[in-house]
Amino acid sequence: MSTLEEDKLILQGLAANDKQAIESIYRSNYAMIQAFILNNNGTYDDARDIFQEAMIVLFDKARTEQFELSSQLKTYVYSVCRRLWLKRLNQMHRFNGNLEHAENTVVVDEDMEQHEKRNADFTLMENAMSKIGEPCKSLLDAYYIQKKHMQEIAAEFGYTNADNAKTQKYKCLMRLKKLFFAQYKNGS
Amino acid sequence: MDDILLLDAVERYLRGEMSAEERTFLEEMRKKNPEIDQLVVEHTYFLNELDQFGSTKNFKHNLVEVETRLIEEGVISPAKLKGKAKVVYLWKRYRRIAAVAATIAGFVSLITAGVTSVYNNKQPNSEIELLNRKFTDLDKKVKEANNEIREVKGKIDPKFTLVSGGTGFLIDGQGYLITNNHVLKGKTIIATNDKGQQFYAEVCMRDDQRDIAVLKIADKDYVPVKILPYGISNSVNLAEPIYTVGFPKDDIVYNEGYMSSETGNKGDTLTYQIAIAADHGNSGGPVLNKNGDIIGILTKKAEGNGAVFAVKSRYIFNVMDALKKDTSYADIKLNTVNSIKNLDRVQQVKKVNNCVFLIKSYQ
Repeated sequence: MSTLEEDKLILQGLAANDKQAIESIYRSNYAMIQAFILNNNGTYDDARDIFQEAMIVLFDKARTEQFELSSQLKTYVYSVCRRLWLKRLNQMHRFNGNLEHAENTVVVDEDMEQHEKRNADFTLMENAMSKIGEPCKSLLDAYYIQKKHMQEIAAEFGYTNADNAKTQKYKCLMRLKKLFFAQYKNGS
Repeated sequence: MDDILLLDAVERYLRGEMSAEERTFLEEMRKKNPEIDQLVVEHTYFLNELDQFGSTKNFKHNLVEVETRLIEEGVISPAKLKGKAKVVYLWKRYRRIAAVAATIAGFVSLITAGVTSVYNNKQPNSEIELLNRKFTDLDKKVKEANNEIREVKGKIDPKFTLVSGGTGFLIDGQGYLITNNHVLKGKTIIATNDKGQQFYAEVCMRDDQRDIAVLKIADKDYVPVKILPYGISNSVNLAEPIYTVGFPKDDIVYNEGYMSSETGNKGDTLTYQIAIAADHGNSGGPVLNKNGDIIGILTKKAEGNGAVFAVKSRYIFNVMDALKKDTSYADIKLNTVNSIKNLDRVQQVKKVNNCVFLIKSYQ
């Protein structure tokens, strides 16, 4: 199998949230990224953070339908990490103007923009979720995130039937929606 | 109620669960009624957001799981302490070595100064050599004498006889130890640490039902441990890896295994069932999880199938609460903060060993 085909398979696995795919990306790229971060003013902790974030970028990208990798996976991961680290350094005012020479990188500007927007949305939803309280949080989590069936949820939460659970779920969803869009309008 | 139906319809519409008929109906409604159209658009957007949130959350969860495994395997380097914490950590770690080094350095410089002034250029080399040899001789004799003293000290008065023994571990650096009650059948109790130092200990409390006893090292030679490495944790998971250190013989022994059941013998809720190699002397020893948190006290081995049981750590808290009602013990503090979580197993065990004692009980 060529590298390109292999990369494609791994990304398919990643899009399906497959642990093996995650692991294989770590195994073949982590050492390189860690060395890069350590060589450029970073710590072991930074390396782990940056790599995690890059994995999320990659995950989001792999899930979009029209996704096509224009370079080798390795190059892409390196480019994203490099970009993320540059930003982090700038934020911490630790950047001394010369990041390790960048050969073999690809342009990831658009992906970064996407990622930042998604990140912001994720935080909004997380905030809204944390504000709706229990049992709403668990109820919505069970239905929309763990994708359990309504009958199952009714039994688990102790509702007498699925319809009651559904009504409760509806109320919770409305509250969540309100909280979510309220933050949105505030432009936070 | 209409809204519920409508939203339900929208969700089914988005998931593609609608029949062709229903679909056309809804699409007709959207065309006719701009409010409904708006609702569908808004809800679609929101559900997409929620879906995105859900999958990212699941993904993050998987990421952390994979990362943890790779850290254990050594593919990813664990976090290093940084900044001030590291300096403090290194200072604590090497304080004793630094002190010894400083003393030696001082000593050497004094001797050198003395030797140089006494033997300054006039004395022939042979005399220095002679002196040197005498010095080495003396040193050897001191060592021998020290060994003898240690041996004599180690000998317990022969009129005492050993009746029971096991393992114990510190729960408060001041010298409070937890062990099993059945380990303490005799009146005199000697706790020995992994370096072979022996201390007298007194019983503060016994709980026969839960088989827990609290000891206090009452010996002026005991140097309190400032920070205990492990915390005490109540949470356990079936199949999680565990380990123990104890004294099935006079030297400390490490063993590892896994959590087999959240109940003990015949459903006994006081204990967990664990699978681990253990012997009588392991009784009273700590059972730790992979983070280095104490989750139980190794207690007994079943006859026949060899299952091992450990008293649940939550009863340590119970026993402590009861003990603290006595005001003379009010200052006991259970350590729940774990400082060895990010160390590898070998380093964890090195730290834990300092806090584990061989308990012998004499009549």
